[in-house]
Amino acid sequence: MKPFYFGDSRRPLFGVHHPPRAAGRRPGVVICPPFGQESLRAHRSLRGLATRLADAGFPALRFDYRGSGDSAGEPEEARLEGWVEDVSAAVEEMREATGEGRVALAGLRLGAAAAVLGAQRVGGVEALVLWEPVVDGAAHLVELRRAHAEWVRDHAPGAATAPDEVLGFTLPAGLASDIGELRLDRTSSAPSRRTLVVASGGGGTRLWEGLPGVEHRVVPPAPVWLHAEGMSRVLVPGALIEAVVAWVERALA
Amino acid sequence: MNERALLFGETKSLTGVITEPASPPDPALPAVVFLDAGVLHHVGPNRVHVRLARELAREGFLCLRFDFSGLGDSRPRRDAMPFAESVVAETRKAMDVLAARGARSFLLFGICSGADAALRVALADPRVAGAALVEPYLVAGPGYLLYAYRRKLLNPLSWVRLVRGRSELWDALAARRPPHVEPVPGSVGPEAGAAAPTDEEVPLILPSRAEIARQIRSLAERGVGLCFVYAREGPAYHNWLVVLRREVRGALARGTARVVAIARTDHVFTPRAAQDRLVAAVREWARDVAGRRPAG
Repeated sequence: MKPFYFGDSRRPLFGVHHPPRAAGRRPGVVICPPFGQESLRAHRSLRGLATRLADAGFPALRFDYRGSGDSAGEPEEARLEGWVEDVSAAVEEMREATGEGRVALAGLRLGAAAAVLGAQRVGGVEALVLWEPVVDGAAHLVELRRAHAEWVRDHAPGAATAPDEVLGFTLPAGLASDIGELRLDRTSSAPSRRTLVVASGGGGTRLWEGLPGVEHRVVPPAPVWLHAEGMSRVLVPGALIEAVVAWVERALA
Repeated sequence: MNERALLFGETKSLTGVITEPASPPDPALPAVVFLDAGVLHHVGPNRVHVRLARELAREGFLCLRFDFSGLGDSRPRRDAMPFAESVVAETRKAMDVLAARGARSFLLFGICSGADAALRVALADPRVAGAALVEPYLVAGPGYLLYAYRRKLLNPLSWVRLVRGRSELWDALAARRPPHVEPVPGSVGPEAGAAAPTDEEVPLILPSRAEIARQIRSLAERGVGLCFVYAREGPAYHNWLVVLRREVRGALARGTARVVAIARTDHVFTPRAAQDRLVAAVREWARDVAGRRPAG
């Protein structure tokens, strides 16, 4: 694991590079994190995914979008377009590091949407992993705001909250508007040669069912990404991570 | 303000982010070290460590946020050092990193278990000039544990669990640990066990009242500034009111300790208004400690 800053030096992005354990040149995997509270809870799982990919010989890069995590910038400036630029910068960084044009993208929740948009932008993405993707952005906003209201009601009753805050994080109007317009299921073709849509439960998602090169997997048990009962718990869904790594090995063989 | 990532420690296994002021930091100002809160990584609950480090750097403080071994972006330790000891050793390594950049004294910032660790480091290292202890538990007693269980005692399901011996209350009473501070549950999958502190290692075996009194006195004699910050309606603040306040009385009177109780917030300062108040309180305290006690 090697932490570093990369990208535009006026607005550097924080990344953690996981160099491959095994010898031989293999494409790198760029991992796109979710947003806000989900990014905190998913941190350990994404580290686990990166570690297992590196064990399997794939260099992996985790990073934070501008205005989030350790990256430069203010949360108020966040827009989906900025995230897509950041995904592009991370892909460029990975291509330089590996000397390989081939690259894979993996994204969790809203990070899956960033991965799809990023793959459309950079082109040449060999494999795409969409982990519990947020397919319908407007529905996701409703879920976020409901979870926020419930959390405040149960844990900080009487607290004043602004319209642009959800579960401890700023969700600026611009980003909320971008998310509200997000409909991954209205894309008519996958932006990658091979795509895995993976979920832990609830039957998974039917996103892009029937499109060429798209596979679906459901691997329980379900970790908690958002709801209050998981606020202080960490669960790394090991079986799902193993399934993703095995799929990446096949997809990039 | 400038940030850089680094690996440090004997085996370069610890990940940290240094936040530097725009101009070279004044070595007379203490540097600030942020300790992990529970199992959250070095950005802190709701990213509040990042925000506070950047605000303090704008005021001239050199800051370092890092992850304890096995947490966040730091690799697990290869030795068998208990978590309660490794958090002290690793925080001192973080201070060494900043000392190599000219810092001579330090402020520590910790939320929840990070506050408990900060107190231990302050006791162990004379370079610590102050510690901001946010939502610490520090002392347990039967009365406090019962308070913490007040709501659960009114819940029929809790009684069923209690009678069947499955309640965490038994364990909490046995370990003198606040029941709602959750240990890391057994992770499944990669790095399970190795990466996270196990239940037994969670650093929340709380000192007795006599022990905490001795510790607070020892820090007061050294002139170490203490800033206690609480969620006013929460159990940690009740702990302060019924147990800790008396032990800190002398330091409060002399002005080396202060307490800030923030209303209408949860344990990790989820409402942004509460984050604003937390950041402002700690910033003001850091200024005061720096002004009162130049290093060297």
